[in-house]
Amino acid sequence: MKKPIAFTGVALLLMGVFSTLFLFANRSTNLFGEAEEGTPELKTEQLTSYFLLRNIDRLRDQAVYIQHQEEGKKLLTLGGVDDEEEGEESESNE
Amino acid sequence: MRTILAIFTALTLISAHSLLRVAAQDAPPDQTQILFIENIAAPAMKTIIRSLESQGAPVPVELTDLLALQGKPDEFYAHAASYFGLGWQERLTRDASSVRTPEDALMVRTRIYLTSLAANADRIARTSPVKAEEIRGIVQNLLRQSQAAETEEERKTFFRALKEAEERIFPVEGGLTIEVYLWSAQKFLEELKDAIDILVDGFSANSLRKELTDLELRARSISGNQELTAWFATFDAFAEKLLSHAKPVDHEVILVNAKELLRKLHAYLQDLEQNGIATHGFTEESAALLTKANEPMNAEEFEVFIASLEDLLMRISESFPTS
Repeated sequence: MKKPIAFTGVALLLMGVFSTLFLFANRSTNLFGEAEEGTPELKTEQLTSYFLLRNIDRLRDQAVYIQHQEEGKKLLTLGGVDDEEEGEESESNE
Repeated sequence: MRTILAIFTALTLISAHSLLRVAAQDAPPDQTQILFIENIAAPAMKTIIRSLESQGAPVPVELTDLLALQGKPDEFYAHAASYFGLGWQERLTRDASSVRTPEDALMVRTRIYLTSLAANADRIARTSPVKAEEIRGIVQNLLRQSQAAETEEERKTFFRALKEAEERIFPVEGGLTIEVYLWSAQKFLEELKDAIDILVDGFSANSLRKELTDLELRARSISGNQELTAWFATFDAFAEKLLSHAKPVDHEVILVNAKELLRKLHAYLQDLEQNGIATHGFTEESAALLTKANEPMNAEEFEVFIASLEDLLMRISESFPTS
């Protein structure tokens, strides 16, 4: 299965989620504004922190990926094979 | 002339290597290692690094780190063997002696690249559709092929095989591009400035915030490969520092937080559904994750659980924009 490649884990977006959906939840009310009883306050600092750290790690991994991808492209150009197929295609079209 | 020089250098290095081996028979093992590192390995590595620099190629950080271990022979040997693999002494010697023609310098550069690809396979596999083990296997085959490629046609065949491997490991379709990466990185760094207090305390937060601003500004002005490589190095050093200052995270607390978050999220989504608002299947997904959160998990399962939670929250935030 193909892994998600785009940068999908911006933790700050998650903080956006926390600040809307979960602030709503923290109000301990339902959609009609009726108070729910006995709902403990939601603490998300540790979770947010964990997501942020995961995203820093992900950015670092992606940096390694990009660096190798770019150097690979350069080597193919220097090795004279980067646009070989395009060249062959245009020749056959002619 | 170049060929003669290359042959002469190769012969000199190989002779020196053999002489040192003979001389080392009576010397203690660590002395052999010291002599080899000082006289052959380190000069060979410096030659290769100079060659890469003169080609404008990135110098893998593992190479400079290895060079810094010159004074610690045991560590140097262990790292060199793990980085370059078996027969690293001969390979270094041969590669250093064959960087004098542009064609050979390109092959050495490619081998250095492939070695770095194998060393970073685990990290690359987190973004690539190809698994780490498979990347290492592909690299081993390509390394063998590159060493056997002597004629122009053989080199061409090698580069065609490299192209196939590149297309699999770094697919264009749905792949990550520099532009997308830099855009995401800038956005993340900009917002991280506001969130850094969550990660670290007091003075560290202030000094790291300044570094963040600098990184963010530099990311905006990247236009070439060398600037990108320099930026990556600075970013990596910054990330390392940030992680070393980060407040410790307690997995048990995280799990408790995650359960509570999922419980509230699920209740909220149910409320939405009861009032006729479509939740796009998020109610069922949150219920399934909540069930998972209450089951015992090992470290690997915990990572999968957190990744699923992160993914769910991300998709919810996209479906219900906050602004």
